[in-house]
Amino acid sequence: MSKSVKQLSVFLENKVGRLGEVTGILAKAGIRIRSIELVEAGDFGILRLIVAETERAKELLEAGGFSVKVSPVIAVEIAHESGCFHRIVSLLAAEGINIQYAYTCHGGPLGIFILKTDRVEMLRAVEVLESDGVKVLDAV
Amino acid sequence: MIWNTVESASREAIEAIQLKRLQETARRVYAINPFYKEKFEERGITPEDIRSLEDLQRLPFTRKQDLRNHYPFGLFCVPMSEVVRIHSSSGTTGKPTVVGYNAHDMEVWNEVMARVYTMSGVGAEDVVHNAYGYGLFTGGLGFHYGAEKVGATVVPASGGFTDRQLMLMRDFGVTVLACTPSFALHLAEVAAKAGSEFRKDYKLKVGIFGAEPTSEGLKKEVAKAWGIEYREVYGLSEIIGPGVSCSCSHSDRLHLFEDHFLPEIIDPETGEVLPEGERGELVITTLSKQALPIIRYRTGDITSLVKEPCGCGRTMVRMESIVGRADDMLIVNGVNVYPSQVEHVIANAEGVTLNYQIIAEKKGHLDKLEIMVEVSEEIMTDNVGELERIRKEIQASLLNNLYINADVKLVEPNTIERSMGKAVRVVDKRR
Repeated sequence: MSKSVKQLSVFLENKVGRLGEVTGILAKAGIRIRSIELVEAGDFGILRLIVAETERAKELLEAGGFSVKVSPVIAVEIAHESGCFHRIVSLLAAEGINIQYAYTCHGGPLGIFILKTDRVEMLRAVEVLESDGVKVLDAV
Repeated sequence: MIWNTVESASREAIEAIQLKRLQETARRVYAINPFYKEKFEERGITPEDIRSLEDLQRLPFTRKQDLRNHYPFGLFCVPMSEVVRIHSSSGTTGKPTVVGYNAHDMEVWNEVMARVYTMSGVGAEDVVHNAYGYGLFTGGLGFHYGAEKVGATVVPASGGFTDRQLMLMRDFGVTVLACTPSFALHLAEVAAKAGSEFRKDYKLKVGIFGAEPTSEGLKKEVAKAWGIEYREVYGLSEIIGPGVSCSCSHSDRLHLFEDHFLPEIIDPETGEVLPEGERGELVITTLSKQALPIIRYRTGDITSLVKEPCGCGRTMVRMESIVGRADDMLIVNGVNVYPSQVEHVIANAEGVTLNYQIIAEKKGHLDKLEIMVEVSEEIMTDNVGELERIRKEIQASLLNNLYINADVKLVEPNTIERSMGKAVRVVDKRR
């Protein structure tokens, strides 16, 4: 397993109040959300979350009747300056590695860029980034 | 091996027996039971009008509700002093359905069950583990006496006590397992805890399964789990109990013992008899029962019949394993749809059994079908595109396999409403 962080994906039907139920379960359990992204496709969507306690959050959400999937994603540290996203994207593109999706996460003075590649290419992606001096995180 | 030569008789010979027995049965019910007499009179016919097998179509149907309305013994055609056995349904959806047998009926039952065992390759050398429930349900005793009839040794295990059952199966050198397919699978799962080599401790060669609707997938799973041959038995207490039909070594279809049970396939909506090979509701007239003869009983089960002789040497008509229930059937823009077919298509498309619900609505003059499929852990992914692909694939397979244009909608787990623990498969808002 290459260096990665765990992301939770939660299946949501596109109707009022469902998102609130997820965040409610987490809030009640005192689980901090580090990053959140909602993608929708018509009648349904997937809520992607990076949280402080992945396993506990998964159990609680499943007990609440949600389908949850844990998958590894790459988290890299980025500075708050122009061109930093471009640098990472170009590095991967030059190696022919496709980014399936990406979003950000804030953490102190620096930002965090979360990205997902094909599973088989994750290890290579991390190597490419680290060899160019990009800091890849194993926790956020 | 064939138990009775009648099982491989010519079509003419079988039909001659059927006609003679049908006439006797019509005379019996008309002369003895006011319910039938009245129904015959309503149609302006008497038993003398039955001159050919086609005349069967002139007779009235009998429904489960008729048995309930005459609870408990109103449709019996012998005095109670002649009745030697009573069985009854559990009656979870109303009054129980009560059936009775006289000594002659018991012989008929044992005879057809002996055919079932012989068709399954079971004889005097075998030890039959009978885990069908003993009691009011016809399964236990039906399988019990049939096994004795062929001279096999019977272990009357009945239900429950899995570990003890497995011990008996090992220690008694059981060769035949008779139970529901789901219990067989449960037994195998528990047995497998002893290790992957568990089968060497058992001498099982064949299982005779029935009493619940079973998908092809589940049949294969049971056969594989035990490494045995799978025989399927069909029956219902209103007709006799288990032993109406059974599958042989040559075909998945079930030979129906038509010298005792005369089958028809009808359109469940119009009641019209359908041509050979077409799917519809199975209707059975008993030909030799005396205590409770029954005319054109609407089984509610959907199947088809073929008469061509089988490679096993039997000539008796063969029915398809039950496809579904007539009560569950939906007609969508003229196409018949059974929930079991939808389930099958979904399972084939994704390789997992998913919970689903079919919702039928009217949109203008057309029927609109929506199928909700719960996203289980097995198919959950972090990728929206992947879920959308699954959704479209199910939709395309429904169109390609069942010719229905349905909107497939992915929903969260446990959204589909359940009634008494069972998911509600069909919601028809057109009614």
